[in-house]
Amino acid sequence: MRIRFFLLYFCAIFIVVMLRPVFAQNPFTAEPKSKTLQTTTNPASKNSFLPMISFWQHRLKQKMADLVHEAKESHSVKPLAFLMLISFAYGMLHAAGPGHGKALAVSYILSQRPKLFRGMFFGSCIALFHGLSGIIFVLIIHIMLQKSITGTLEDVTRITQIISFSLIICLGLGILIKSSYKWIKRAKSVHPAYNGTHKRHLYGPLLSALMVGIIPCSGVVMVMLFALSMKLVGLGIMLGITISLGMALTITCTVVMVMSGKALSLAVVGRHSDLAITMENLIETIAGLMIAMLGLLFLSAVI
Amino acid sequence: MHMIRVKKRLLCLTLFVIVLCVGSDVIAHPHVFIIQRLKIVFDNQGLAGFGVEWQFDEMFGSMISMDFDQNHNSTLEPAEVEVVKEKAFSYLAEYDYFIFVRIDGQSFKVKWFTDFNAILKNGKLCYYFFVPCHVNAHEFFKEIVITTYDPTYYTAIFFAKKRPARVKNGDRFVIESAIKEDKSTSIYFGMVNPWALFLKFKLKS
Repeated sequence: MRIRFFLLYFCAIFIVVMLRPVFAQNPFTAEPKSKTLQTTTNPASKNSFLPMISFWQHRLKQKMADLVHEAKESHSVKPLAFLMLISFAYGMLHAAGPGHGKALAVSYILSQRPKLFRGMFFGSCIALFHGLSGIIFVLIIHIMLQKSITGTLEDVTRITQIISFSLIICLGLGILIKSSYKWIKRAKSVHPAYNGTHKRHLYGPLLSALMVGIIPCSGVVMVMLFALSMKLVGLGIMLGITISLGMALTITCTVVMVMSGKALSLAVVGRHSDLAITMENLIETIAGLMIAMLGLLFLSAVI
Repeated sequence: MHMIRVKKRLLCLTLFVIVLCVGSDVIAHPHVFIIQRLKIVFDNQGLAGFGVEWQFDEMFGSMISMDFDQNHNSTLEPAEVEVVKEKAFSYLAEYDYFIFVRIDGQSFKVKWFTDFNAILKNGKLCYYFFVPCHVNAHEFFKEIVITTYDPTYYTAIFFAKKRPARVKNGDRFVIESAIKEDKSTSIYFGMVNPWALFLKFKLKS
């Protein structure tokens, strides 16, 4: 069981290392910086989940556009309730797809042992910052600076990515150093006591969430732009926030699942055994390493 | 015993979720959606090429119109179309314009196009362009596969439900076609098979 457990963990790490970064850069309006394309001549794995997400995102986006038109033409608040519901669902689905800081949220949560509520708060903050950042950047670029959205937003996104990923590297290294210190401390002590009920702090959840969420969400950006094109700034902001709430639900669910998985895995290896402490420290070290590595990989892709 | 098995399964599930999240964070996902129609054009010798019509989702269309409809009259004039072509289409050359052609199994690289046009109508944006691809017809079938996808998966391309493809000047040829997933190509780390037009044609005997 133990060997299997470790093998699974190392497989996870191996897969992460093997993946090369390709960023969500609009291919229509920006010159490609990386030619790493993920095309193969093999049949796809039997996975209908991702095409299904794409299909439903398309449907929901179309429905949102129709409802915005309806709201504008009828001057009625009637379609608004349905519109909010649709945008919430769109946010949920949008975050269920790849990206949106889930990897970093998961790695960070793995490296700590926060209370459930704080973990959920952290996950929600990432989504909210991610969405709000999209709203704020569009408003600044379009209304205040009155500049072309496509080019400027690409540049802004790139700058925020560089800042965010650099901070993430620092965060990962910080966790790594802290966990290395624990290994050394533990090696010196004779009988370390494991206290499963002890809760570690989730250091600076808001700041950490801001580091990950500062990059504007392209989904929110497009919805905002659409609303702006129809001169419905208020509605655009409302939709952006609702989408962010939908994303928050998905990211929080992911965080909760991972927290439960970690708690379970520690319970499986034995609550009172020395192995549990080793396991937890190991998870923290690997998570710190993962955060630093992901930050480095992402940074190398945008520079 | 049963409890341990349940725990093991839960553990594996969690690990799977972690791998999915971590792995997927480094790749793009669809933000732009295209409904596509193809027009297969024949000349006297055989296939001359194909016209491509891309209808974008309204949100992407509004982004383009905000930036490139300079006089804000909700239509794109020829000068504006030129700018759209230069600033919101020509970069696709790096991705073979999202069109990947195989002729009898051999890859045909799409290097250029003609007759580009961008139309903005009722807030909806459409691109039209023609891809020259000359293939002479014979007594035996020539097989062409036109697969359309964005290799970065920033864009999802769907064939239109109504009239996804049509043929022009095809009277002299026996033509068979089908639209289905291209099982020999996968994108998005092997998770998605793009859709393709499978075309066969030969001279009428």
